[in-house]
Amino acid sequence: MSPSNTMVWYKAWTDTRRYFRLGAMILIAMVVGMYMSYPGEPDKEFPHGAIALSVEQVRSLPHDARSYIWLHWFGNTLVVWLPFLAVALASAGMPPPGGAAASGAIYTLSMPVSRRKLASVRIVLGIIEMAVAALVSSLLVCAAAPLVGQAFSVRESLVHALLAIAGIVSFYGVLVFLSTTVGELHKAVLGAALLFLYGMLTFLANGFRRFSMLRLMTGDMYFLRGEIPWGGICASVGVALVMVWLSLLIIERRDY
Amino acid sequence: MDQEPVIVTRELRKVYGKISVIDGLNLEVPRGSICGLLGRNGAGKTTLLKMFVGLTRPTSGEGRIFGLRIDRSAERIEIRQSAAFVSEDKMFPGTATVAEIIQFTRAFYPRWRSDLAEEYLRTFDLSLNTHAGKLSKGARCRLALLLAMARGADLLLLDEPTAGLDPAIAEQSLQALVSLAGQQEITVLFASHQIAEVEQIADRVCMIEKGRVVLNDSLDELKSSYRRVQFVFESKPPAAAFENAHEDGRTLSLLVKRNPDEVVARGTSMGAQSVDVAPVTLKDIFLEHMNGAGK
Amino acid sequence: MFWKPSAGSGVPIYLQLMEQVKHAVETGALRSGEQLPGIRKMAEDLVINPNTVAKAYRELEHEGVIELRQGFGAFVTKNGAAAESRERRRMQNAQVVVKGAADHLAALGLDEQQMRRLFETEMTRLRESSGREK
Repeated sequence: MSPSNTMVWYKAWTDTRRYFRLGAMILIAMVVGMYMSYPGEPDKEFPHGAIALSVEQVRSLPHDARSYIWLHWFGNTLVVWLPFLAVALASAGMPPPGGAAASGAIYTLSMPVSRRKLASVRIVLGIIEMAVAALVSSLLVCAAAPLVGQAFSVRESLVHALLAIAGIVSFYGVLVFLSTTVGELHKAVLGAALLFLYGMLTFLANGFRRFSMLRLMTGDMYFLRGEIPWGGICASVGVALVMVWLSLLIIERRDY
Repeated sequence: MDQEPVIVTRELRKVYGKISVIDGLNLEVPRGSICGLLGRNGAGKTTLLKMFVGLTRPTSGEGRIFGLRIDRSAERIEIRQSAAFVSEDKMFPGTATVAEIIQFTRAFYPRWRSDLAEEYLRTFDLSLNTHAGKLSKGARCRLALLLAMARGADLLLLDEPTAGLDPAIAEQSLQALVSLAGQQEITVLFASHQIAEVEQIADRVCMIEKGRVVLNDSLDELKSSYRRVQFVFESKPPAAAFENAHEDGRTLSLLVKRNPDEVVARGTSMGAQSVDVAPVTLKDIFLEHMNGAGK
Repeated sequence: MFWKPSAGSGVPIYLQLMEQVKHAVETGALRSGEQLPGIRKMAEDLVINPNTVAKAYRELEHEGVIELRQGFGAFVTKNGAAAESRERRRMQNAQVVVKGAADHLAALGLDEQQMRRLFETEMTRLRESSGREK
């Protein structure tokens, strides 16, 4: 890779690494926490619900280790924390002109690199970082299971982790679009508001549950019936691509 | 200087909504010159420089730098490979240190001159480990200049390069600039409110008002051709005797661009009792153009 | 030896620099055959445009005060000093005239401003008349 390309990636890395590290550490800590509070008798202390799952579905699950771990990790923890990581990472690095953030960006924009490259690398790196955090923590779920005398399938864990990633990218795409148009201010507020919105969607009438991003991330279809929700994956990735494409369009045409 | 000018624009226009910030601007900046860009706030200086470096796109008209078009995305990137821009606020991205910003910049410029960078770090008293956010405005100015001058660029586009610097530091910065210009062929276009500085180091001056060029000449030419002519009449001076003349009691004074002798002859024939011809400063010429703009 | 030209004065910087060089030759600060500072060094020391320095040097060469040797630099010509001393004598004579006139005008009660104005007017008149003769 040419020195300028390397530098574009390196800059994106330095801009995001603290969020990646923090997110990864939190997820790993959550895994540890899950096992440290693993009940002696899962039967008695089985979780009552999970995000994006109906109460009946949860009740219908066998009270075994596999269900417990799936509900706890993929059904609750990962699905709650990944969106926060997405909020922290989602940015094209190109805030709208006029703010303090834009002033700093002007120097980068005056380099002999296309805006498209600068923005794309940043966006892609964010996705890679979320994916790594999700995969590493989910694999740790398998690796640490024997410590409580249990086991969780690596293949299942990987598939669920990938589903979680497939689901989060649509949310990430929307956030990238927002950070491009609205700016980086109040990222947390933005993210929380959106999260709430998404969360609400899952609790609406049954008709909406099919379109819930959170449900896709949980991967209940695969867990219960071994079915890959291709429709959901395509929809989520589609939304992400459209949002990113729009963002790049805006970035390229903008005057600073 | 029989080469193509480094910067050429023809009827360049930039419109924001209903406002034409740049309104049919025609400019040529010859290779190797240090050209001062003067104009009031809002005249379009910053917008012009940003269009040259590709931060802003022109609405219409033609602009070429090194023969490359500023309205084509790929060519804009090529322009930036040989040009350096120093923005008015001299901000830097994020929480990087001076060393990191230098490392960042040199990755994009294979012609980076580490010898110059080191020299400027010393002269400008900049420490590699300081965070950009903690630098004073003056230090940021100097860093911006370092980054612009050490990258081996052929064109420097500077927006108020010494604004906010104390006179000693400003002089140091100017010194580094002229030293660089003496070493290699480099073209500099700098927007400035410090007219004295423009008089000191520029060999060309360009004045813009309301998005148009109202004057573009060699500084020596200006200095040797402009004169202030002052007449005293016995009573009230003849009405509308001269264009752009200032009346003050029995005195009539005006700035003459060329051939003050003709004006002197006319004034004398109108009955002037006394005539004074004196040289003018660049500031006088500037203020005169700002008042009488719209020719 | 050389001081920073006045940017704000009505006189172009290159002319001021030329005057300084001639003055240096005149006073013996620079002698025949001695080298002048290079263009870059001069520009850097005086913080002026190198093109301006180059222009001054070119004009000085044209007047025979210095010569530019390709690749080596600028040197005071052999007869540069001689030309300067001729010039110096001429200027000394002229100075006597001006001193006399200034003393006379001061005795008449004129102040500096008035004297200056008179001079500018005469300059214009001279220019006019030499223009008409063409």
